[in-house]
Amino acid sequence: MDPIQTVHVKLMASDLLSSTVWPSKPPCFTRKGRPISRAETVGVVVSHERKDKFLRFLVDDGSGCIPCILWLNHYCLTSHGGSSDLDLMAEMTLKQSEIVQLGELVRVRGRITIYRGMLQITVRDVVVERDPNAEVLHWLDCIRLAKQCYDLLPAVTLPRSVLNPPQDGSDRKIQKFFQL
Amino acid sequence: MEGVQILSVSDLLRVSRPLTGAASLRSSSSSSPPSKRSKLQSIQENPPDAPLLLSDPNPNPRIFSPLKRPVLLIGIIDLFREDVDHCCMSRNQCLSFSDGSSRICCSVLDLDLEIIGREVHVLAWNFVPFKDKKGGVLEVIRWSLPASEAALELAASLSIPSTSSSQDTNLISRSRAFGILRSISPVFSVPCAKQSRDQKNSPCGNLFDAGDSIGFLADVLTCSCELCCNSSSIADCHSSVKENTCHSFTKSMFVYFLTPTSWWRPVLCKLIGKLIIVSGLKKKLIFVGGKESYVMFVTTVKSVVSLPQFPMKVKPLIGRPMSPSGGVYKGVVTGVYMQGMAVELDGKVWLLVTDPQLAPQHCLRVGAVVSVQNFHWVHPKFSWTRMLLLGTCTRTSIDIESFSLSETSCRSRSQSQSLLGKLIDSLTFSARFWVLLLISCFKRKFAMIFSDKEILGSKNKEGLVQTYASNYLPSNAFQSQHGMFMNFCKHDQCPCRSESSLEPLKLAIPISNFISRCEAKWVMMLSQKQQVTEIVGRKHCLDHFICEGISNCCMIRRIISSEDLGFVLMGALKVSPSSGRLQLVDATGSVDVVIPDLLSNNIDQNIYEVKSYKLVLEGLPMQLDHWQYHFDEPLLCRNIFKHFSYKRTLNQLSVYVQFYLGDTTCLNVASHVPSFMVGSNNLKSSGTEMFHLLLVTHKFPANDNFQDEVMSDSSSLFADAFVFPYNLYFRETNEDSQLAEVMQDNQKSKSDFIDHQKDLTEEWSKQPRLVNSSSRIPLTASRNSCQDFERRLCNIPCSHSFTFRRSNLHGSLLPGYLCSGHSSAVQGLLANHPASRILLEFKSDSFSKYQLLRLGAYYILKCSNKGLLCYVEDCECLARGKVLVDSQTNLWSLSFSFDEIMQHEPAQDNSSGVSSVIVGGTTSFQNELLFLQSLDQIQGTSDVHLHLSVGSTEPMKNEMEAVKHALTRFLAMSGCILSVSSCVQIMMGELIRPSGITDPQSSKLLQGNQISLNGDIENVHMYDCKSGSCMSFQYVANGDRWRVCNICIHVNDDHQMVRIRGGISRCAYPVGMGPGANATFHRVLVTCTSSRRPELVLTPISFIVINSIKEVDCQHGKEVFLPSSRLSMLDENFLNTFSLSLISQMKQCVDSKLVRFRCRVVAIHFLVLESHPTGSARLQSGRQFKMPEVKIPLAGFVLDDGSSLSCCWADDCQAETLLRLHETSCQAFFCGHKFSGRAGNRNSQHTIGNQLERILKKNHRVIIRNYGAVPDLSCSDLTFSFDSDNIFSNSEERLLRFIILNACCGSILNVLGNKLDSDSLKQLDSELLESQASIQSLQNVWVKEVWDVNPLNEARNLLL
Repeated sequence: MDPIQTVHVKLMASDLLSSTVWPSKPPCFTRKGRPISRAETVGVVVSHERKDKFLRFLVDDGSGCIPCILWLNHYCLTSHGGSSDLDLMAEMTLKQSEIVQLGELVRVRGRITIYRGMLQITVRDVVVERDPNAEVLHWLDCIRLAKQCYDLLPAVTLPRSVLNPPQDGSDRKIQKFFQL
Repeated sequence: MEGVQILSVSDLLRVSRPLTGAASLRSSSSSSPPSKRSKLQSIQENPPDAPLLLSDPNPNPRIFSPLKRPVLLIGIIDLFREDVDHCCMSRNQCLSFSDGSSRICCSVLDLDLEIIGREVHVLAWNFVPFKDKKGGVLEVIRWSLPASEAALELAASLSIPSTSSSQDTNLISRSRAFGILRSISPVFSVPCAKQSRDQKNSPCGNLFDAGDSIGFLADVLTCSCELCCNSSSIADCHSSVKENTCHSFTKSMFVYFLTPTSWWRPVLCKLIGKLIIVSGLKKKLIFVGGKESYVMFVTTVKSVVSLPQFPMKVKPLIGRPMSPSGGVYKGVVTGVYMQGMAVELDGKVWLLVTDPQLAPQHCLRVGAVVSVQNFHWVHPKFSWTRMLLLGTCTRTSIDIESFSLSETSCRSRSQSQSLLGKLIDSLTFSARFWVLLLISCFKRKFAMIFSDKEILGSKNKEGLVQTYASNYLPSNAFQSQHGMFMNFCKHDQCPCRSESSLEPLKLAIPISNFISRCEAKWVMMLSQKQQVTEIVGRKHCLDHFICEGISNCCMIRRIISSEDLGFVLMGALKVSPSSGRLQLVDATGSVDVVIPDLLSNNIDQNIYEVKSYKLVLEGLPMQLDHWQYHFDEPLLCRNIFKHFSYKRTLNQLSVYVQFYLGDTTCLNVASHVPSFMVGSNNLKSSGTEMFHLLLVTHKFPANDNFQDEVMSDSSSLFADAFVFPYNLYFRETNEDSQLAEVMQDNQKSKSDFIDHQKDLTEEWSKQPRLVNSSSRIPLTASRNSCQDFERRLCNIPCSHSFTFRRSNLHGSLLPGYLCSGHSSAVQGLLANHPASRILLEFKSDSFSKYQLLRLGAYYILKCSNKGLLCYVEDCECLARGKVLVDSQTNLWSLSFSFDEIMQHEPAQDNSSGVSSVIVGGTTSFQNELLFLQSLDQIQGTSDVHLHLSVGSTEPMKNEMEAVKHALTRFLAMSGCILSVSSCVQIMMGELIRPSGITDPQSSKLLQGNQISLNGDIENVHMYDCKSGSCMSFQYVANGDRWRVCNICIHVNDDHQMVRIRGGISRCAYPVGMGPGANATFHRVLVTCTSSRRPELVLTPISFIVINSIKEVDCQHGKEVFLPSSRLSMLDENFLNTFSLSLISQMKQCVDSKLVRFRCRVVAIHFLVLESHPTGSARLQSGRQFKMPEVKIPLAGFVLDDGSSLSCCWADDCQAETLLRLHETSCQAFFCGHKFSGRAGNRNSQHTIGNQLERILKKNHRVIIRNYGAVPDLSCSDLTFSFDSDNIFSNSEERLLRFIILNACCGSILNVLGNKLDSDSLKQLDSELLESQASIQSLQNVWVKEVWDVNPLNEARNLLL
């Protein structure tokens, strides 16, 4: 398995949003032929839409805007017999949603998903960066990683594992919940 | 008056105890019918026939005994008409009361002229016996005339009894004075010599006494209206009053009441402010001082003082404002000090009684109500306080308006004729009051040191007070003295004018008052700080920093200049036997002192006056309860006069004072010759003396049990020193025989030097020399020498001389004899000569010498060898490599100077890339205090100063170069002192060593190199203690609660920070150690912890020297969180020098290489939590938050840097940081339902840190495993196992889950680590990796360091 498939790749928005989407279930994403599933971005929150079940926001990293969605519906799962783990996560997610404010510089990481044909990040965690230089450092890291890591291996055929990636239990449950 | 008992005066005198009685009292038996039992008891106690005054067998002389039955005194109130004083006050203040049995002094509240000389019934009274029990004073509160007397309508007047000589009636005495009695003077006498001429010319001369003329002056304001001017008799005066014309009494008239009318003064002083008529006066012109003349009216035998019979209109006095003189002040006496010279009124105003005759001394007691008229009010320019002073003069009158019942002792002040008394009389009000305060201060300060006579002086000899005051007071504090006439008549020329030109006076206050004042100031400062905080609206959280998970309160240090304090310090210097600190002491207390220019280690018993100093207050910003710390202002004059009881209340406060010895003044120089130069063991006791030169290179700190060793004879005080390869010689005589012999001997053995001797002999006759002892070069001739002790105020930089200095005492020895050999040979030998190292062992009786010994300074030690030839190798006193220093041994400090300025180049070890620092500041910045002045600057304060001048000849120059070379070489040998940055480089050498899982056995022994380090202390805190009981940092400074404690010192320079830990004894803990101090740590061990982390350790031989301190003030409400895992010695700048890499690239790295990568925590797959084994390091409590006492023996994290995942293993601090424990432990966590991640609720027991501690206390050890998918965030697959059998509750589990989840939501971190090799992996418990196949495929890394990312710096580094 390509090691970058398990990491949160640091890609600029323009780069990430131009990733190839493979129409599978769930969809797979490749960048220059290398499979990616998770991403990390640093940018300013430029759009903020809060609903009961989710928080949708746009992160502008200077090269583009990455749509992000933070699910807040863990409590629905707990009320339907979810574990205390979900309860705890629900609270933590709720707390994270409070820190996402317009104009804040945030560091977001999560799974790459697709919604209505557009690539987005399903947020795993979000951190507010107090130092504005963090964005610049992220740019430089993106360049460094691209040079030293992401661009190194030649494009390979998509392995089977990419087509059937392991799914996290909780995420799967959430997805199923929505599909109900 | 039925049932009233009449007491006689003789009864009062016989009992001779304070009594108070009244005629209107009802007896207990008649007031209310008591119970049967009490009535019986009452009768037994006070039977009707029992003597009234003997009922109390044990009278308390300090309280007035009330007489329980009504009593009456019947007697005659009269003037003292006898020539012989009944008491010291009889002339001026006292009336007499006699009932036939005896006669006593008397004072009447509402005196009426008509009772003088008549029998009265005293209805209410106090009796105060004199101390000698030979008399007493009767204070008449209420009186009445008996019915028979009241019927007689006698004129209210004072007159001379008709028994006077009949011839006096022929005198012309038509003048009279009619007006308001404004003021009167005390009774004074004019020597007969001056009056003889007047006596001859005066027709009333026979009125005067045969001896001096005795009398007093009165100032009567008369009316110049037509009616008054035309009235020629008393009847006219009365009629003018009756006319009801409005009079204006503005014209001053002096009336001289001569004996026998001078007896009237006690009555006239009660009539001040009233309208009086004095008739029978004679007009005279009186010359004062031969220049000025005054028209005066002198009393005759016909003189009569009477009051107008009718009330009259009087215009209010105009043109006599309260300021600066005149007016009336009424107040309660709250204190009488200094024999009645200083009287406190109403607790705030001071009355300065310049003449004892002015005050009614018998009645001027605490509690009395007095009215003062015609005073001068002054605001003395005292730099330490503001106050109002009422100064008295010849016109002042002090009247009692209510007697005191609270004090029973009568004061009597003798007319002091001492030199000090004369000095006081010659001073202005402010200066006079200042001297009174000074006397009180000196008497308290030097109670056990000097006798009263030494302090106050006598009639013929000046005391300490007078010497000091005379030198201190400026010339305008003295005022010209006039006679009574001049003072009285020229009253309008106010003496207060000179007060304004006085410079503010400073007082040498007792040290107890000083310390109390410091505490009060500290409390005031903190309370102000609290108030500001409350106004700003900040929370009451204390400033603290966290190190190793323990919160420590930040210290505050304030430096206050003596200019702002306004008082001077005075005392003797002494090394405290308990704390080992240098102190300034007096009889009332002591204060720690720091003297940067103190080089001598022979302090004496001299009294030093310190005018210019800096006070340092340092302590913790504790929350203060204002009511708890109530200070009676210690600098109030009341507290200076009286015995000021003082007890230290603030344990957390450290008080010390910094000053320069050069700025002090020595008060009592007993002799011009320093004490160490006389006696048996001195420099001049024998003709020739030789001294070894020692350079002190290290002091071994005093351990905590040195006090116990005082009793035993052993010692544990040591110092290291190098023996300089030169010896120092003195000669005081011209005898050269010994030198000649030596020279001959050496000429025989060293023939190659013979030719050189001639030249040198000539030179030596002019120059002082050094002789190289190791080269065995002969001594040579000397020239004449003499000893001339001179008292000079500064060092004399003369060549060929040794300057002795003891405080302000300097002396010169001319010349010293120094001999030298062949210069080239000397240089060659010096270059290869190994430095002789000796150990100085200090006996317990020479503890102070040890304490004052300064590192890096030269000292001379007298050699026991009497000969001139003494070599270091052979000398008996150095033979064993150890010198015993006892109380008889003198180590005199030595300083050098040269004609040329010698550049002390610090030795630099370029090969190691380590730079040394020069210790000992030369300049001080604002709010920075030097603790050690550089040796170059304080040459003048050393005991012996050696100035070497370059000779004109080539050998001399070579010789001088040799000496310089030796000095430089020795300085280099004494060891370089590293900067923090240099130290970090050395420590990194330890860090870079390959390591894996450490064998715990190898960490038990401390191993490593010793270094000396200089840097700024950022923080000091304790992390453990051996005292058995837990203590907080507040006790460190005072050192009265501990003997040895473990401290952690954070030291930094501009770039780096290191941490020094270890035990330190109380005696080795230097004054001023704390944040903001620059310190040198001598002989600190560089070693490694069990986790292979390099660290600096204080060992029992480490010695700390504070070089300077700065003010420190933490910002209230600011919390400083130091990441506990941060390798505090290594700054991020340094860590960032490690190459940044990617985890995906680690496979190519060798195992030992340290690699840095920037990553985030993705998951935690293994975690062991244990309760902290020590568990006693809990500091502070209450509001203060602290890190939980948690130990993390091992933790496995999955880290993601964007290129690959890795499995990182960490322990202790690194694991804590990766776990973000320092951020979360202060958050509140409610186990029930919702948690609140707010950090504010610090006082709650629900913080994560507290709850985690509780869990670990219960379960001791918790192991958490994560079987979930590696990169995803989930806690659903966590398993918990623990040692105990306790049930692991849901809430506990929930807390741990939260900690783990939270750790996975942090930002990026820098991680420094190396790849774990296969061997190291095997050392990990195989069970840990069981069933965790997903992580086995990852790269395993051992985390060495974790620190926060500085985006700016790192971005820059990437771009470079």
